[in-house]
This record gives sequence, structure tokens and C-alpha cells, in this order.
Amino acid sequence: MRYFFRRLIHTMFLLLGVSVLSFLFVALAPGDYFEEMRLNPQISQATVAAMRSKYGLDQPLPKRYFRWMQSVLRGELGFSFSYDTPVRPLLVARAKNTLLLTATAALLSWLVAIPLGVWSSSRKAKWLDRVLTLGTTTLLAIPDLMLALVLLLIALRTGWFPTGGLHDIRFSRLNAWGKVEDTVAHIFLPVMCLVLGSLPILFRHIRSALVEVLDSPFIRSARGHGIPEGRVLFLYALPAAANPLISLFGFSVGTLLSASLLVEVLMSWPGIGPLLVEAILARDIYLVIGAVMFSTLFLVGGNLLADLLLYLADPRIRME
Amino acid sequence: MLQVRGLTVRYRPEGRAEVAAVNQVDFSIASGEAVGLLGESGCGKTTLALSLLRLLPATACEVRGSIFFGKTELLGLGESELRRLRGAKISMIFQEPEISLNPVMRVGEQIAEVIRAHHPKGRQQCLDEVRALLDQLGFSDAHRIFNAYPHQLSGGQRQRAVIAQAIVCKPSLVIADEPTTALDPTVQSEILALFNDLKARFQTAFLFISHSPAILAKVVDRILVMYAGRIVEEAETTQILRHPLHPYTVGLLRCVFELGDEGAFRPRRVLPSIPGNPPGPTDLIHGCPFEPRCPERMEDCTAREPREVKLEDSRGVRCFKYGG
Repeated sequence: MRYFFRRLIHTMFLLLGVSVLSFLFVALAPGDYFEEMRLNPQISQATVAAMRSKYGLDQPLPKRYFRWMQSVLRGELGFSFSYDTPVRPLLVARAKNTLLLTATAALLSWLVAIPLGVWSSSRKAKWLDRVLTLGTTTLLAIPDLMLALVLLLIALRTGWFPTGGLHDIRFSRLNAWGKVEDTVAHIFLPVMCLVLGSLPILFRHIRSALVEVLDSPFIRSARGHGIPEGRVLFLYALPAAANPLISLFGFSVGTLLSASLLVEVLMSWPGIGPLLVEAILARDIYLVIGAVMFSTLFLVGGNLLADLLLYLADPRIRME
Repeated sequence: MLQVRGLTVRYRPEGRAEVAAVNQVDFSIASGEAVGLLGESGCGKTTLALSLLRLLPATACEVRGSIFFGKTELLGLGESELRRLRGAKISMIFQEPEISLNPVMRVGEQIAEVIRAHHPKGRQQCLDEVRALLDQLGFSDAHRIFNAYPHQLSGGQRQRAVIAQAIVCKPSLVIADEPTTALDPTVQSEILALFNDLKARFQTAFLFISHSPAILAKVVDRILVMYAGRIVEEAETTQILRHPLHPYTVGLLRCVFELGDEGAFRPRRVLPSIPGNPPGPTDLIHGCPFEPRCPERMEDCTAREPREVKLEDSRGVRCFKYGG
């Protein structure tokens, strides 16, 4: 308990540090949101200057940071120039979509990778293991971009799946079941893309962790006592191999928000990805910083979750 | 009950030539009998034990001979029949109790798993049976052992848990591979007492593997001496202690026992040992495998391998001294 309290304080300082750094880096980048207006002859320089001062961009950096901090404490996370609203509602709305996508993808890829990895490790160096290892290696070698484009191409040619967006136009008129169906159809392609992208890595980690454990004496003694192979694999080997996998899981939760950036942009999924790209291109700095802070929060949260799971899963850690 | 004839186990380690770890071994164990397997490390004791349960690693490329357990030929069994046999009819206590328990499962659950593997009983019933067994074995700390994870137990407690796991299904043969080697002396004698108790109580046959004649003398009725994958001498424990025949047995006993001594400490005395090492699995053997280390070697010894000579009282020995 005290450990988690300490971790929480630690996290606060981490977030503070990240905010200072991202502020600095954003400030180091040349130009700001009003740069383009300055080039526009129809807008007078005085107007631009007035707008800059309205948004506080003419203030020195420490003061801007201080004002941003105040807005964070108010729960606004700063102000978006291009959307003309506080950052938080913007991010929260988009983060929901990103989470829906990435959580589905993460869940699916773990659900597929665990049985595959266990199966493969239990038939080490047999043909099944070889085929799976070769298959995942190939998949690993294909860039995500290519994977997404191929999937889009297939969807276009066959017309089986919509190629973009979150919902159909008629979504609001569908009944509850229709809504679910429509969401599944829309989410299918981006999820497939993310699953195929992360599956090889998960599979390899699970397989190698299990291969190592399956070599250990307690597995041989379990087999020597006639414990059925399925129980040996899932009740003995998998829990004993879980520690590195839980850390990996925590990490994958941590990267949930950023992992889907490319896929979201390509498949026009209205998540944080496209918003962040837009914000960066428009120098909508507070939106960028907000997104970065969200990602950091997830990373820290993921690791915290992993520690918690480790604590629950491994009695040896619980002792300390 | 167990009849092993002409058992040969050959390994093919990756990228190297085939080697025989167990060579033409014959022996039998009657029901309820405790038999010891004595020999230095690397003599093929563990390989022999593993081959009885068909638990050899994948590098074991050839297993020949026959192993009859009752009327069942173990070498002819399929994987699912073997699984039903292991733990239920023949069970094994592996070397190093430190690492032969599942680190993330409570000890009681692990013992119960063995029952569940062989009987269609519910989880709770199995756990109750385990509790009953631990009480029956007279463990003063039965409750603690039951609820603990392996890392929370001492070496002796872990070993007792491992033993409980091996006998929980009342098998007719228990193979114990160096069950006391990793323990300190006081715990060792506790465990040995437990084995003697089990022998008396469950009428279980034991194959007790050890490199120490002193330990075997405390628990077994009969001793098989193994050297370089062969059984070189076989006799009742009392006979072997009183009158060992094979020079290797004599050497092993001299390392532990002092003949006609009062047992007082005598510092700076040279401890006897057998010079040299047992042949490695890849070494070529001409004649008797013990010849290079044998203090009584003769000219015949390198010519061919000695045959087994049967003597009175069902003793057997492979040495030219006795006409092999």
C-alpha cells in the first residue's frame, strides 16, 4: 500500500517533468499558430499581435507555463487555438475512440497470441512451431503502413468492410443491435491492422518465455506425476512464465494511445492520432502538449497496472 | 513387480555422436521392496530412473530392452497410458526439491493436482485428502506446508511436500532420485526416517538413488552398484556392507566407512578416494570400464568386458576376480 502511495507521488513528479520538457520543446520549434496569418496581406500585423497577446503567446515562457498550469488545475489542460475550446473535452472525446480501437485490438491480439504461443512452445521445433514462427517473422517484417494499405485495398475491392470512419451516416437511426453491428464493421479493419502488427511480437515473447519455463525441473516433475499436458501448459507453465509477459502487457497498455496513430490516420478513425497530426501541423501547441500528457499518463498507468498485476500474480513478489 | 531386462539408453546430443548412458541393465524390484542404486555422478543413475517413467529428454534417441511393470511393458505404452501410469502407479521424487515444485501455486494445491490428474474428484475433496495425508504423515507443520508457496518453506519442508506429492496416489513404486542430497544432515535423517516409515506403512516399493552408501544403508534392503551405465554389483545391503566384491564397491565404501575404527576424529588423515573419474559418455571403453581406476586390475581386464557372475544369496558381480 505504501509502495503504491510512493508510486503515486513519483508519478506526479514525472508528469510535472514531462510537462516542463514538452513545453520547452514546443517552444523551441519555430513559428506559432498565428505565423500563417502574418503572411496573409489581408490581416493587419496589429490584428495578429492582438490575437497573440490575447492567447498569451507574447508572454515569456515561464509565465506561459504558469498560466497553462493554472488551466490544468482548472481541468481544462490549456486552450486549443484551432478549435477555440479548452483542450480537455477535445482530447477526451477522441481518446474514447482511440481507446475503443486499441483496447479491442490489444485484447484480441493477447487472446490470439497466448494460445498460439503456448501451443507453439509445447511443440517446440516440430513443424507447427516452425510454421508459426516463420509466419510471425514474415508478419513482423511487413511494415504497418503496408499492412494497412493492403487491408484497405482488400476492403475496397471486396466491399466487405467500410474503409473509414467510426459510424455509418445512418448510425443515429439504427436500433441498438444495428449500432453494435455498424461499429464492429467499422472497427474491423483498423483492429485487424493493429492485431496483425502486434501479434508477432506478443507471440514471440510468449513463446520464448514458455519455452524457457517448460525446460525447468518443476515442469518435468509435474509431467512425472501424470498431470495432463493441458494443465501443465496453462496451470503450471503459463503462470510461471507470466512475469515478463505482464511487464509486456503493462508496456502495451502504456503505448495504447500512440500505437494506433498511423492506423487512425490511414483509416480515418476519429481518434487522438489524426487530432495530434493536425495539431502539430497547425502549431496548436496546447493541444499537442495535452496529447503528450495523455500519453504519458497512459504509460505510467500501464506500468502501475503491470506492477499491480505482478503483485497479484506472483507470491514471491507479494512477500517483499 | 518391476522387471528390467537388457535396458539400453542411448543419447544423441546435438551435433555429437551417439552415446550409451545405460548399457544392458538387468534388475528387478519386488513389491514392497526398497532397492538402492549406488554410483558416482554421471554413471547413468538418473537416466535409468527417468527411463522407467519414460521421461527421458528428447535427445535420448534409442531405448532398447524391456521394462515390465506387473504385466505391462512400459516401453510399449502410448503417451496417454503413460500419463495415467505416472504418479498413480509409479511416481518419482526428483533431485533438488528446491526447484521441482511450481513456484506460483500453493503446495497443498499442487499435491491435490496429482490426485485430480488420476481421479475424477472435485477440487475440495482433493484438498481434504491432501490435508488428511499430511496429518497422517505426522508433519508437525502440516497446516503451514499446505498453505504455503514453495519459496516460503525450508528445504526439509519442501522435500516433505515433494514426497507427499509422490505418494498421494498410493503408487506401488516410488523412485527417489538423490532425495536427501540437497539437505543438511539433521534434515537428511528426518527424511530418511520418513522413508522408512512410508515403507512400513504403505507397502510401497522404493528405488532409492544415491551416491552415498551411508544413506542407502539406512533405508534399502538391496543395493545395485552402477558404473559407466552398467550394474557392476548387486547384493543385499547387509552383505554388501560386510563383504563387498567389486573393487569399485570397495572403493566407494572406503570413502565413507572406516573399517574397524572407533569413529573418533582423526585430523590430517588422508581421506581415501577412488583415483580418477568415471569415463565420460563419449570415452571409448575397452574391456572393463572400471579398469583404468581399478587397484586390482589384471591382464584380462582390457581384453573384454566381464560377464555377470551369479553367486549364492542372489548376489551378482561383474568382475574377472570372480570369474567374469
